Amino acid sequence: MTAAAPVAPKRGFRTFGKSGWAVAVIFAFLYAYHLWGGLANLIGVVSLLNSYGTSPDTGLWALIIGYAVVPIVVYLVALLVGRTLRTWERAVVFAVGFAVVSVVSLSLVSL
Amino acid sequence: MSDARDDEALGWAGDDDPTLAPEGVPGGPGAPAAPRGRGPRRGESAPAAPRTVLDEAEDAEDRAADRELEEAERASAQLSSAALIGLGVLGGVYLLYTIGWVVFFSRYEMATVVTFGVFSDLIARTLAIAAAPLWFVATLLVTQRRDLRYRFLWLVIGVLVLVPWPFLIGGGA
Repeated sequence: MTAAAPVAPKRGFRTFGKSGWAVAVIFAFLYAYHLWGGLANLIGVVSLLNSYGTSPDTGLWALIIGYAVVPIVVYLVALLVGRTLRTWERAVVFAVGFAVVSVVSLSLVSL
Repeated sequence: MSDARDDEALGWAGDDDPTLAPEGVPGGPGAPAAPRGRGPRRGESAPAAPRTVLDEAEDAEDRAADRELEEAERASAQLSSAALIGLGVLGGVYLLYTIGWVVFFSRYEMATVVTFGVFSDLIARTLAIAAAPLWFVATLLVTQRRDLRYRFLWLVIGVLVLVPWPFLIGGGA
């Protein structure tokens, strides 16, 4: 009999396991903190401009909506990137993504 | 005196199973059954002697050990000098980014009254400063068992994503 190498199942969302999903859910809460800040900013800016009797122009709309959406986008990217990795590597990817959200948000604010 | 039951006692059921025939051995399924009892020792077996399942298993074990050794050698191989220089340059860029973020935030004055807004702002700034070194270290950690190309790809993506725009634009948020 030839030695058949044990075929490891292809890693993906199906092989996440409980710990993998636990990591994803915990980081979802952390990212929600960023998302909450973005939404607060969105509502705050719009209501402030409304109180002056104006509304955001296209560029400002894009900025404040982008600011609110960044955490969602980065979370999804981190989830995709980490899907083939081990659990601790996935946690590292999420942690880096968490910091990246701050970078992108602050860059957007400075524009 | 010999009858079919004696023959049966000297063999294992399923010895003639064609799926047990080792691959690459001349005359698999149709070949005469492998010699029973102690087979010829490896190295001194006659060329025509059919190899036993045990021989095959031992060979497979050797091959697996060789492969493992090769992989380990490849994993611990030193980087080429070009790769080292490339990593150094990228590391320098990440360091500059970190310095850029630190300088940008050092222009701020710390608020004296700590409200939740100030606190969350502080968290965001700390994360922004930490992002570049985090990305660098995480990339090296996660891609250490992968191809070198992936390491550089992810480092270059990081260089594009982590640009300290507030510092480059020079304005204040």
